[in-house]
Formats: sequence, structure tokens, C-alpha cells
Amino acid sequence: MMSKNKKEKMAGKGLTRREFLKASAGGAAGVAVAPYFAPRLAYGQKPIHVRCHSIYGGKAAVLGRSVTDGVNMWKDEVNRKGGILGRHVVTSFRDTRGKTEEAVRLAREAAASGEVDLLLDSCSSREAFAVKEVSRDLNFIIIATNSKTTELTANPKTRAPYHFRSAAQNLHDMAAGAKYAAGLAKKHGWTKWATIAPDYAYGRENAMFFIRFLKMYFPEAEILMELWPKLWEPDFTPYVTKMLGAKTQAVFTSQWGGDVVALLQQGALYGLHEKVKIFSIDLGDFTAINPVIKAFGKLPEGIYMGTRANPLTPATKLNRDWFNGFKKTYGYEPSGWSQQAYSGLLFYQKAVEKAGSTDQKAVRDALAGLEIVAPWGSPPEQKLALRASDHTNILYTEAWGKTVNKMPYVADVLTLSWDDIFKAEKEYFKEKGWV
Amino acid sequence: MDIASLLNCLADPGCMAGQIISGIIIAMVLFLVASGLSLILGVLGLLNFAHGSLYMIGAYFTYTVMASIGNFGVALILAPIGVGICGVILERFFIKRVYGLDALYQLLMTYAFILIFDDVVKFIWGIFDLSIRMPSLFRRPPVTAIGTIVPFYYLFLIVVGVLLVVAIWLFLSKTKYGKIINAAASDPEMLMCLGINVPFVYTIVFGLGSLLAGVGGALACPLRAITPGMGFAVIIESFVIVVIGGMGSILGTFVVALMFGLMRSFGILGFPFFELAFIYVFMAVVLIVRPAGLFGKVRI
Amino acid sequence: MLQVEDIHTYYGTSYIIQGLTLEVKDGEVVCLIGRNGAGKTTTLRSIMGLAPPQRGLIKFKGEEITGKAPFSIVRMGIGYVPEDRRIFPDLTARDNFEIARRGNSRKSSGGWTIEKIYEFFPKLRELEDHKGTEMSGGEQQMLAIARSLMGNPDLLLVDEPTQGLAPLIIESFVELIKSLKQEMSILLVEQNASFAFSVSNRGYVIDKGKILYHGSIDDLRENKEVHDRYLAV
Ligand SMILES: Nc1ncnc2c1ncn2[C@@H]1O[C@H](COP(=O)(O)OP(=O)(O)O)[C@@H](O)[C@H]1O
Ligand SMILES: [Mg+2]
Repeated sequence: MMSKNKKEKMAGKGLTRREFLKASAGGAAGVAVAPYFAPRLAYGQKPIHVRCHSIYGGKAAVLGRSVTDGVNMWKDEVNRKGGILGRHVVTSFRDTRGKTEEAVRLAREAAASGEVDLLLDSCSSREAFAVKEVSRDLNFIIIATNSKTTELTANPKTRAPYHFRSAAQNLHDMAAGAKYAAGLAKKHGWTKWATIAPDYAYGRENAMFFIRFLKMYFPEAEILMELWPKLWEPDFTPYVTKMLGAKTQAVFTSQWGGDVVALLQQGALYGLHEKVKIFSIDLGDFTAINPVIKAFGKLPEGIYMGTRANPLTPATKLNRDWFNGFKKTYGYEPSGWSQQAYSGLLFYQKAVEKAGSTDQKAVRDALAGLEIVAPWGSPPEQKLALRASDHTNILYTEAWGKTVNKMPYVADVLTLSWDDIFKAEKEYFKEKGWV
Repeated sequence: MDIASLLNCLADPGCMAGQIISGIIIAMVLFLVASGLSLILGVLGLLNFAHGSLYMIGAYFTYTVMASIGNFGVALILAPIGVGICGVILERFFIKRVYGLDALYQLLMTYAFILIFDDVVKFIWGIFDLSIRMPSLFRRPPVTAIGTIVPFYYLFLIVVGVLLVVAIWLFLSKTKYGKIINAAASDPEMLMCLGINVPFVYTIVFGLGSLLAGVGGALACPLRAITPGMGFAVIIESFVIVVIGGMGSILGTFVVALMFGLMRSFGILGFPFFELAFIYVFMAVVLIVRPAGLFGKVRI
Repeated sequence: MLQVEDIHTYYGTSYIIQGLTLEVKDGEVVCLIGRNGAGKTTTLRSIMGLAPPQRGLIKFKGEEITGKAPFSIVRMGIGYVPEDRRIFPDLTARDNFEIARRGNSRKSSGGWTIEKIYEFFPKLRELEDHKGTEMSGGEQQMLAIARSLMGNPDLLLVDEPTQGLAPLIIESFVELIKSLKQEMSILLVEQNASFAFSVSNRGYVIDKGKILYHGSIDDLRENKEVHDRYLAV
């Protein structure tokens, strides 16, 4: 590729490895967060150390930030009340850079250090499966706060005794979302459906579940097409024209963050959200709502969206206060990621109190089947549970609504029933042989 | 597989026209980014992975101009120039040190800059996704033609893309500076022996390539969220286009960008799950048959 | 015009030019002859700044040029015609002249223009729109020389212009060098000693990166060793 001459002429100054490392360290400095070991407390007790692993670079940076502030919020609240069992809480954060090997290496390091009491795995599903194996290997408590992939906890063959999930789950989200969509579709006769979901574990799984449950609740629904743009796809136009060309009446999408923004931006040029009913599970997150508002000058109305981390879901004081408290402290609205990390910590806090120690075995036993009250627990009791059978989080508010251009941007909220979700889940588990 | 909808579309001129337009639109922004990459690879022999970051900076500059002045026309001029200046600084202080070195060094250095630019962007503009409104000039009902609708902004994009490809081609093949750049691509040492300040030419070429990425970023702004790391989504595809088109060939880049766009828009109709794999297979075949790319010349 | 004093040049760790001294005076044609691999090309590359010597001094018109960038050396008035001609494959003859054209602020009179080049090399007028790859070896060599003239050099370095050319064409190059001599000094590198001697005023013999012998053309012709090595067929 390079001519010999060019080589000779330009060979003058090479970049040495040291110079390069120096140059790249500048880049990494912004994302590496130094561990923080609090000074010994007056009462001489060792603090409880919560470690959080997330992604702080690239397009997923917003994920890392949301999670981190969810953790910080919990820590500050706990310490203000005198800690857990009289022990102060300290936190530390590590950047896995979205790489599975790095996530595994860091998880092993944390589990083996003897310094860390709890590890939050706040990356994506890709890392979560590998990190679960670390928990199994070292009998160390790891709570997955982001991965929604059902198989992570549902498959009894791969369960790990010290592994838990505080994230919502695709199966639950979609059983709820499809029920909501089916209700409206039945009423209005929307039979021609499309799905458009990012082409990786998360999108593939939730589109599959959506189709399955939509057909279950509304057998007349016909899926015209399944579309699979890759994650962070810049061009949605051909997908839009394909949907419009087929006279699609309604579309389900699990594009999130900038992707749902781009889908709506490019769709708007063709009048997509006026011509097709959009059911977006992730538009409801403020990380998407805010840029959509900037792109349109207002939030386009009449789009159906799942809402989590919203003061209206549920519309209780506890939830409102949490939402507003977060916003006031950190200057932006919490995301589902902040909420799920916070759930995991509430579970841990209660388990330690119940166990009376941070001993891994004792806390594990306390966590399994634990019930707590959380801002987004299903009203009226606002309970949230870590199901004993599969160590996964249940009973969180599953709500959908219609966009309106006024804070908190959702109206006609419908909260879906967990009885229905469990019914749908049971059927799926039966089919998979997971019961 | 959805071959039926591909066949239906091929039989329906309106649908055909619609998918062709979407393919062309994919091609336009990609062409702008890829053309700069191709220029830099062809002339400087540099694998610039940070090129996508320059596209990103173009988008952020556009955001800032829109937020402060609010005029998209001004943004379309200022943002690319700003990116061009960034490119010149980058080349002068860093990139020029890795010319002619092993591709691994180039990769390491330019990859480091992807991280650095992402952090700089996060530091200045924050980590949350940004966006701008469709400029008011283009906020009007789409044009209807050949049974399909063509968004007004897309017409504009196509016009700008075609004008730019003609302008770049004229510049490179008809002007003295273009010829100097061409000569620098084949034999920089000889060029130096004709009294031409080749390091300066390199800086200019890098700046121009960056400017083109900046134009891409600016034009993409009303269509995509502006986010740290957004360059990553375009850099791989741009490399694919440059490699298939033949590095250094602007015409090749343009033609292959169009092919790429059309393959995607029709691929999405026919086999939405495999359309990208299909393109990579195509690339592999091209490289086996013509290692220098469709429009490239083999150079030693 | 040009003084090269005790230069030492390396390629990586290979020690190629090992203390070489030579001089070209105003208006002279000086030849540098030697066998393949003797270091002739490297000597020219050292002067041009393409292979800067690690030690030694090179002065052009009294000014030191060691360590300067090649393009600044060209701008001071040295033209270079490399041994493999190095024609840009995509450019036409005319393109070559256009990019090589430099102002002639150093010269009070005339200076080279494309028109003057065409008068000097009528053949190139016919080839004006041809690309380098479409030309014969002799035509390429003419183009390479003409191209460097567009920089208005006071000193021309020419590396083995006759290499691979037919005898008839070589003969025409004798006339060419003789007429160029009216306008500039020339340092001519050759293996073809009979050609070199027919156009030069003085000559140097190089071997293993050192000057073995130098003197007037008549001296060189009479030298037995030179005769045996470079003139005997
Ligand atoms: N780029 C290079 N790297 C290492 N050695 C070289 C290089 N170019 C030439 N040489 C060596 O330098 C010596 C002189 O070469 P050169 O100056 O080209 O000789 P000449 O022009 O007299 O034939 C030869 O032994 C050749 O092998
Ligand atoms: Mg030689």
C-alpha cells in the first residue's frame, strides 16, 4: 500500500510506545474512576464496599453515567441515615469499555480482592452471561442491573447461586407491552404489524416476545415484516419506506437512545408517526425523550411508549419524590438504568440488614425471595421482589401510555397486571421446559 | 427472508423509486465521509480510524452553530471549516509522525484519537444525546414524484452530494493543486524533487479530507442524534466503501457508496436479516477478483 | 557552484558513502562514473537531501545545504533527474510541466517556459496529452529532464540518462547535454563512460563509496585502470 519511497522519506520520526501510551492515557483518564476508600469511621468499623462495573465510553457513556448516579444517590441516602448495620457505605466504579473479557477480568479482580462486598454488573447482556460465571466460580454476589435478556436467569440449567438480576426482563416487558398493544389494536382494528428492533441479543429477544404475545392476545394480528437495523444504525430511511410501502398499520420498536431519535427524525420526513401507530418500549426513557424534543421542537404526540423512571409510573408520592430528588441532585432525569441499579442496592441493603452481616452466604440467603418497598414497586404496596426460584426482579411497575408534549410527557397511562405477566411467563417456560 | 416484498417492489415503480431514494440518501452522507477517508488513504497512505470522529465533530460544531446563530446555511459552512482546521492541527502535531510506519502504529495512534475525541466531546457537550431541528427551510411537505414521496431535505442532500462529487473530481483532475495531490499519491519523493513542499501538501490533503467528513457530519445532523461515539457507526462502512471503490478514487467512492446504499435499501426489502452480511460477501468477492478495488490502480 | 566535502552516508546501518569529496564549478559538466553499486545514486541522493549524510558538508553557491529539505534545495536551484525517471503515471506531459513550474526569481533572463521546453524537445509537444505510462523509455527520459528544467535549475543532477536506451537515442542525448550546458552546470552520473566523456569537462571515478580517481577527461581516458574498467568492451 505504501510506496517504498514514502517509507524512506517519512521514516524520520516514529512514535515510540511510551509516547503512544502517554497519548492514550489522556483519553482514558476521563473514563477511569479511581476507587474511593473512605477514611475509617469513628466507630472503627470497616465500610461496606459496593463496586459497580459499567460502560463509560463511546455511545454507551450515558448508560455509565445514569447507573453511577443511581448508585451515588443510594449511597448518599444510606450514609446520611448512618449506613447499614452502623457501617458506612463506599462505592467504586470501573469501566469495562463494553468488552466481555474486561468485564470478566474486572469481576474476578473485585471478587477476589477481599475488599469488595457487592458487585453490580451494570453493562449489557453480552457481558452479563460471562460475568455470571464469575459469580458461580467464586460464590460471590453479583447483581446484574442492566441485562434484560430473559435467559440470563430463566434457564434453570445455567442459574448461579450467587447471581441476581435487578433489571427488568424482556419477557415481562413484552408480555405487558403486547397486552397493551393488543388491547388498542383490537379496539381499532390494527392488524398489520411490523417490528423494528436492534440486531443484537436485546432487540432480537424482545421483538420475538412481542410477536409471540401480540399473537397470543390478538390472534388476528399479522406480522408483515421484522426489521433488524444494527445497533446504532445511522440510516433508518429504507426501513421507513418499506413499512410505509407495505401499508403497515402499527409498528413495535425497541430502538433506544439515539436510535429511536434517528428513527423518528427520518420517519418524520415521510410522516411515519402520523401514518403508522408506533409502540416504542424505550422512547419513554428521558435519554430518548429529551433529544426527540430538541429534534422536533416538542414531543410528537400520539406515540405509544413504555414508561419507566417517570414520575407518573407509578403515580405515587414515593416515586415522584425519588424522581424529583434524582433530578435535583444530578441535574437530569433518571433513566431506567439508574432505577434498576438503585433497585439492586435496595435489595442488597435489606438483605444485609436481615442477615446482620455482609457475609456472602448469609446475604445470598437473605436475597433469595426478598421483598422490599421501592418507588416503582407495583402500587398500592409498592412491593418489589427478588424471586427465590430464579433470582430475578419482579413486580416493578409495567406501564405504557401515549406521548403528550408536557412534562412528564405521558398520558392515558395503563399499568399492566403482573397476574397476566406471570400467566404469559408460565406458558413460555412450559414450552421451554423451564418449569 | 422476504423475497415476496422485494419482487412486489420491483414490479411497482412507486416502491422502486422510494427504495432508490432511500438508497441514494444512505450513499450521500456515507460518500462524504468515505471520500475524505479515501483521499487520506490514497494520498497519505494513512489508515485513519479517527476519520469517523471528525464526522462526529462536524455534527457537534453544527449543533453549536445552530444553538448560537441558528442558521443552517452558516452552520454548513462554518462547521466543516472548523473540522478542517482540527484536521490540520491533528496532522501537524500527531498524524505526520506515523506516515510510512507500519499500519499497526497508524491504527494505534488513530484509534487513540477516537477515544480522545470522544472524551473531548463529552467534556464540552456532555454525554447526553443531542439533536437539532430540521431547518425551517426544509420543514415543508415532501415532493411527490414517480409514485413516491421525496422529502425536501433529501432533495437538497442529493443536490449537495452530486455537486460535491463533481467539484472534488474537477479539483483533483483539472487544477494544478489536484495534479500535485495526484502526484503526491504516486511518488511523493519525486514530487519533493520538483520543489514541492510535500509535507505541506499532506497537511492540506488531511485538512480537506477532514473537511469532507465535517460536511458529512453537518448534513447528517437533522437526521440523526448527535452522540459521543457516533463516528463509529460510519467508519466501518466508509472503510468498506473505500476498499471496494479503490482507495484514492473519488469516482470509485461515489459509485460504490451508491451501490452500497442501493444494496442496503433493496436488501432490507428482500432479506432484512442478512442485508449487511450480503454486502460483506460482495466486498470479499471484489477483493478476490480485483485486489485494488473496482476503480483502484495497483500500486507498488 | 557545488562543493561536496567528505560526506558519509548510511542506509540504516549500511555504510555507503565513505568520505566523498567532489566539486562542480560554474558552467561545467562533471561526470561521476563507477560500477553498479558503487554509490553514484546515493551521492546524488545525499546532495538532494533525500539521503542526508551523517557527516560532511555540502555547499551550493557558497551556502550550506546539508540537512535542508529536498524541496528547499530544489528551490535554491538544483534540478534532479533520478535514474529510474520516476514519471507520474496518471499525469500527462503537460501536467508534469505545470506542477514543476517554479518562479525564476534567481535568474535575470528568460527562464524556462512550457513553450521553450517544446522548442527544445519538439517531440514532447506531440506527447503533451499523453500520460507517462504511454511513453517509450527515451521519451520518458526526455520528459524527466524537461520536467526538472521547469524549476529553472542552475545545477542539474542527472542519474544515468542513457540507461536502457537505444544507441541512436543516446547519440541525440549528447547534443542535448551539450546545449543544456549553455544554461547550467551539470553533474552527470553514468556507467556508460564513452557517453559521459563525450559531454563532460571533468570526471570522477567512484568505487565503494569513495572517489578513486579524478581529473580531466583526457587524464581519465589515459588512465589505464579507468580505460580497462569502464571503456574496454
Ligand atoms: N535503500 C537502500 N538501503 C540499503 N542499501 C542500499 C539502498 N539503496 C542502495 N543501497 C546500497 O548502496 C550501495 C550503493 O548503491 P547506489 O548508490 O544505488 O549505487 P550506484 O548508483 O552506483 O549503482 C549498493 O551497495 C546498494 O546495494
Ligand atoms: Mg544508481
